Amino acid sequence: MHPYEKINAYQRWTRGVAEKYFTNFEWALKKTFEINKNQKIVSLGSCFAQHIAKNLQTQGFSYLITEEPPKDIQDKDYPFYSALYGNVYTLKQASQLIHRAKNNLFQVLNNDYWLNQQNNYIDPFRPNIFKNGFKSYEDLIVERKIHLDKTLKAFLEADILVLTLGLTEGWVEKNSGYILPVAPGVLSGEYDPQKYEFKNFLYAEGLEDFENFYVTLKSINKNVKIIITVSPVMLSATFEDQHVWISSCYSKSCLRSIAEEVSNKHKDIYYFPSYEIITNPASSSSYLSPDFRSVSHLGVQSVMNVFFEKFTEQKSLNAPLARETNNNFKAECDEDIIEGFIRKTE
Amino acid sequence: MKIVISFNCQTPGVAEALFQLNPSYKILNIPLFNINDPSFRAAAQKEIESSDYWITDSIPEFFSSINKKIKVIEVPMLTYPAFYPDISGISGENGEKTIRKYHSGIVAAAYKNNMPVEEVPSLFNKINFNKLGFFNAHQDSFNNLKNQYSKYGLEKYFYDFFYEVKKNGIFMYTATHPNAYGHACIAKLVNKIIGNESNVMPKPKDYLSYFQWSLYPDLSIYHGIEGYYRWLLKDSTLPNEINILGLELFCQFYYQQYDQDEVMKNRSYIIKNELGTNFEKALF
Repeated sequence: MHPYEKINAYQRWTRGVAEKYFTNFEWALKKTFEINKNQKIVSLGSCFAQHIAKNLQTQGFSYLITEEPPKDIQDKDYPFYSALYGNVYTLKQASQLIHRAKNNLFQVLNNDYWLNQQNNYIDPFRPNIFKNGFKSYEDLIVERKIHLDKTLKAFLEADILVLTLGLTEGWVEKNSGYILPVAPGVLSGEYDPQKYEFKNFLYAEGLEDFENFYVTLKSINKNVKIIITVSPVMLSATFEDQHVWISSCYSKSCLRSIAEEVSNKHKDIYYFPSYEIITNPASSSSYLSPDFRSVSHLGVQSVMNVFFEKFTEQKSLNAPLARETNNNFKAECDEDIIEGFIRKTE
Repeated sequence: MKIVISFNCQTPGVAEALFQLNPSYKILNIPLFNINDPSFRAAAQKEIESSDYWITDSIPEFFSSINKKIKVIEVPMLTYPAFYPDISGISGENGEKTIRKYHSGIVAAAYKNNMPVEEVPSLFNKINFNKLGFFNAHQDSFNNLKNQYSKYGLEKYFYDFFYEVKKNGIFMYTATHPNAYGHACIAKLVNKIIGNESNVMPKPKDYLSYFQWSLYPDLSIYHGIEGYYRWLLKDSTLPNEINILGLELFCQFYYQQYDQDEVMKNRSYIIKNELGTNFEKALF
C-alpha cells in the first residue's frame, strides 16, 4: 500500500497526459463556480486578457465596459478593456492602478507626460491608448481623471474579475516608484537612466503586490470573485542579460506560483489554467503561433472551450469565437512594439 | 535477410519504410487481397516459405502447412477511428450488400430520416458530436488499439508505438488508412520486434493519401489543428476521384448518390462505425 495507489487518472502523467490527445485532458480544477449571463465581468491584465474579454462578450456574457474609447480613436482593431487602462502586465501595475483609482490620484508621476514628435502630450501610463496624445497637459489630466473614475466604477460594479498575470519585468519611475506599462522610449518619451529603472519583481514582491491589490479591491467591492490566470504569451524581450526563454520561464513560474498561493488562500479566488492549456507538452506547440510566442486562434479556442465548460452553464460555445484578423478583433500587445522597435533599430 | 510483409492496404508503406531502415535486407511487399486466386496463393506461399520473417496482421487458414522454420510475426493493422468517427457504411436489407464503403453516418442517417439536404449541414455541431460519442472517440480508439496489441502478444511494445505515432498529430487519413508517418511508426515497431533498434525515422511515400476524410472543425480542436470540410474520395464504388470542398456540397453529393443507388430508406441500415456509434438513435 502506498499513497498513490488510489489517485485519480488525471493525477498520473501516463493516464492524464501521455495517453491523451492534446487538450482532451480532464482538467480537474480545485474550485469553480458558475457564471451566469447577468453577472458583470471585468477583465484586467496582459494582452491575453483581451482574448478572454472579447470572447466572453461574443458568447453573450455581460462584459462590463465603463469607459469606451473616445469616438475619434474608435476602430475595429481597438483593443478591448473594461476601462481604458490598457494592458496591465505586472502585479505592481495592477496594485498601483487600483490604488490610484480608489484615491483619485491623478498626478503621481514626476515626469507626468512625454512629448511626441508633434509636441502632443502622451500619458506615460497609457501611451498605447491615446497614441496621438493630447493637445495640452490639462487635456491629459482631464482625461486621466475621467479614466480613474471609470476604472473605479468597473471595480465597483464587477461581479467577476478575470485577472491575467503577464510579466514580472517592468520599468519604474525612480522618484515616484510608479511602474509604467511600457519602457520609456519604446512608444514615446525617452529612456533616461537617471529617471527610470528596470525592475524584475521577485516572488515575495509579487505576492505582496497581489495582496495589496486584493485588499483594495475588496474594500471597494467585497462580493467580487476573481478568476486568476497566467498569460501563456512569453516575453517579447527581456532586459535581464540572459536568454529571453530563461526570463520567460522565470516570469511565468513566479506568477504561476503566486496564482496558486492566492487561490489557495482566498476562497473567492479561482485559478483557471490557460497557461497550462496552451503550453502543455502534448500539444506539440500547435496552440502557439509560428513564432512560438503568441497564441493561435486554435489555442484561444481551446482555452475558451475549457473556460466555458468549467465556469458557465452553457458548457460549450454558442457562437464562433472572435478571431484575430485584419478586419476583426486584434489583441493589442504593447510588448510587440518592443520587438518592432528592435527590428527597426537593428 | 528476407522479410515478407502482408499488411493489406498498409503493406507498401510499411515495406518501404522497413527497407529504408534496413537497406541491405530483401523486403517483399505481398498484400493478401487475392488470396483466393490459386496461382497468387502458390506464388505468395513460395515467397513466404523462403523468407526469414513473415510480418502479417493475420494468418490465413491454408498457411497452416507453411514451413515452420520461418518466423511469423503477427502485428495488428493500425486502426484508429478517433479522427474520423463519422465514417461508417450503409447496407441494403439484411446487410447483404454494402452500398458504399465510406460514408458519413450523419448524412446517411439524415437521408434515411427524410431530412431535407439543405438542413443536413446544421447537424455537424458540437452538441451532436457529443451525442454521437465522438468526444470519447480517442479513449475508445486507444482502448481498442491497446486491446489489439494485447491480443497479438505485443503489450510490451504498445506504449512506445502509441506515444511515437501520436507525437506529431494526425496520423490517419481515414479510420483504417495511416499516413506516411503512421506507416513509418509501424515499420519502426516491426524493426524493433525483429531485434533492431534505430533512431532514424523513415519517410516512405504517402501511399494512402488518395482518400482523405475531413477533419471536422468542432472535433479537430482536440487534435491541435484547424479543422476543415474537405474530402478527397476515391474507392471502387465511385466513378472517379472526387474532391469536395465544403459541407453543403458534400451532403448534396451523397444525397445524389443515394438517389442514384436507389437506397431504400426504410430497408437499408447504417453499418456501425468502428466505435459502434448508432447514428440514427443519437440524432433522430
